[in-house]
Amino acid sequence: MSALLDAAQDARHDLGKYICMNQRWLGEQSPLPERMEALQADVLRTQSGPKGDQDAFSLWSRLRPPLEGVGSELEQVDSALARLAGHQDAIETGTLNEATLAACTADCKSIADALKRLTRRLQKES
Amino acid sequence: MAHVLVIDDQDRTSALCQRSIPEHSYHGPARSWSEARRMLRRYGRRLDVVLLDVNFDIEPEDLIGLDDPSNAAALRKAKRTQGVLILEKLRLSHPDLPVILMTARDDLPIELGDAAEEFTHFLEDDDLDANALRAQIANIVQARRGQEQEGPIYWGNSIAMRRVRGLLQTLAKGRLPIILGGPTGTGKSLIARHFVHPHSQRSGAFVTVDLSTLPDNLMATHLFGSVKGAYTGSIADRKGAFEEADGGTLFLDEVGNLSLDAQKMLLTVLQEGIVTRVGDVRERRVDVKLVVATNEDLRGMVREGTFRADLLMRLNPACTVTLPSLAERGLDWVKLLGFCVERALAGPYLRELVTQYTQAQGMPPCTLQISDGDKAPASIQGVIQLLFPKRSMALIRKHSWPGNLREFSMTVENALLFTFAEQAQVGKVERPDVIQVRPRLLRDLLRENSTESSEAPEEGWQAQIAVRPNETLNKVAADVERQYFTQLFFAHKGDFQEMARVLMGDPDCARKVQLRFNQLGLKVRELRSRL
Repeated sequence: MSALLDAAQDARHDLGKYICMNQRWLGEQSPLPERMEALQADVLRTQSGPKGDQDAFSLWSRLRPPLEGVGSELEQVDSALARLAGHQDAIETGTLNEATLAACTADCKSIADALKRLTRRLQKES
Repeated sequence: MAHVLVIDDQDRTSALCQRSIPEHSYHGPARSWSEARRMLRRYGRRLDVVLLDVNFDIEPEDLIGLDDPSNAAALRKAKRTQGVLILEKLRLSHPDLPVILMTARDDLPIELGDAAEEFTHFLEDDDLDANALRAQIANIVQARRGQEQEGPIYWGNSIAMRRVRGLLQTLAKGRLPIILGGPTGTGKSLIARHFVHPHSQRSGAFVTVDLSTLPDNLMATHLFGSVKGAYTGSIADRKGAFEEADGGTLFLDEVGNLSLDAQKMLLTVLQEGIVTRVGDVRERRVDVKLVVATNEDLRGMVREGTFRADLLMRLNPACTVTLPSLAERGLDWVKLLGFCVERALAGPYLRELVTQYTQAQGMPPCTLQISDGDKAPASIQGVIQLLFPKRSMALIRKHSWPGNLREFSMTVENALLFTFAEQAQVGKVERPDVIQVRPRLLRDLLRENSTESSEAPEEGWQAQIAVRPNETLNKVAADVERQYFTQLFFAHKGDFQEMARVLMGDPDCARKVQLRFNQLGLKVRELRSRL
């Protein structure tokens, strides 16, 4: 259980914390180009530091294996990331329309929520 | 504007802060404790708040609290708790610097030590956005500055002073008397007038009586009033300080000087709440908040029979508030200098000197700001920067300030007066916005102020001289010198700068003194072990 909790905490910190951070800071009322930029930063440069940038997809492929089979939260993250991957080109080129951008933002939030829920659940169970 | 140090292994928070909350000045991100320590040293006294991440995914050699980097579990734990470990380290040097931990308290992988609690705030990652952070920083800065700036009182940020302030705030509102203790010059009367009285929520006057200046035979009249004919020369009825302070606050300074007769009368006032003027039979009810100050040991005076035990009990001794000396306040010297400069500028003569200077230099009216270091700081519009070079700051820090805040204020005011008076003699200068407060001036002022008698006892130190027929005069002189240096070493607790100040008038000659010790064969390590 301890290893699972550790892995969940890593996922929450490395992915959940940053996947909608720029968007949350910006707020929903900001102009479309700014929100687009925030989404790009959150999804494509989820981790940024001296070690370079990492996108949400590569982060999840590193973070997911130790969590295999832990619960439904994983599927929620999988499907949200899959939807985001479906729009990856448009996210990169900044060509999402308002409705798709809103859907992508909702997916980012759902990833953060799922990882937070997972961590809390495992904390309670441990 | 607040100065915020960001300690985070990621760039994200720092970048977002700069973009979304541009009204503050951000330093960092410091990505490890060693970087944070450097920045704390550099900006420490300017910082208002630290924004600290908890999880640090950094190289093992940059982590603190990691003994065995090859142990995967230990490495992981060190990374996940790095922010807490950094906080513990930070608290050793900055016990009261507000820190916002970017995590939920529940999510902390370990317990936070209690020492950090008071100045540590939490902001859950999931709530972390511009508005939440802006509000939190604003609250912290407001509280911090509010504590620092309470009229003419310098509270500082030390835990001791915060406790004193909290205690006084509570006691001020109650009806019981307050005893203010603490060494001379710590600001007892200032606090009574500008803090206790306003916080007492009383609409009456603040009346102060310095009992050290009143002759015993006039004390009762002065405090309780008198009626016409009560004593020779009493030509009219007269209100005493208690009646003047009715509905307000009466501050009795140096209460240890109260005569035994006056003590008896004061006891009646405290017991009954009524005053009887000297020579009168009529009782007058008074409602007075009594604050007394002393730097004497009232309990000791009770034992000696010079202070009434029943009066001491009525003065609420259990809640005596002792103001710490300047040295015990964990001071930010630059801020204290700024505070004292502001106070000094209330004086018309200094203001006039500053105006003369700015006019002579063709400058607009300016405010004064403190700056320290050996390099001229960057210009700030409308500001004259008083530059305290490192040597000046060292003198300020080293001085023991036996006269506490009073001595400090007077030294600063004198330093400003002499500095500006000197500047008035100088023609146009290249950087009129930077004025150096020279170490030599401070040294002279501090030497004049010095009341310390540690340099030598009045009767002098005794040296033993054994003179043998075949001994050279040099050897005898060296023996005496050795004994003198040893005495000096103990008198100044091994502080070579102090010894250099005494011997050569310059603390920077400490190295020379140390060399002389070596030449004389005095073993410093051995002497230190005897301190």
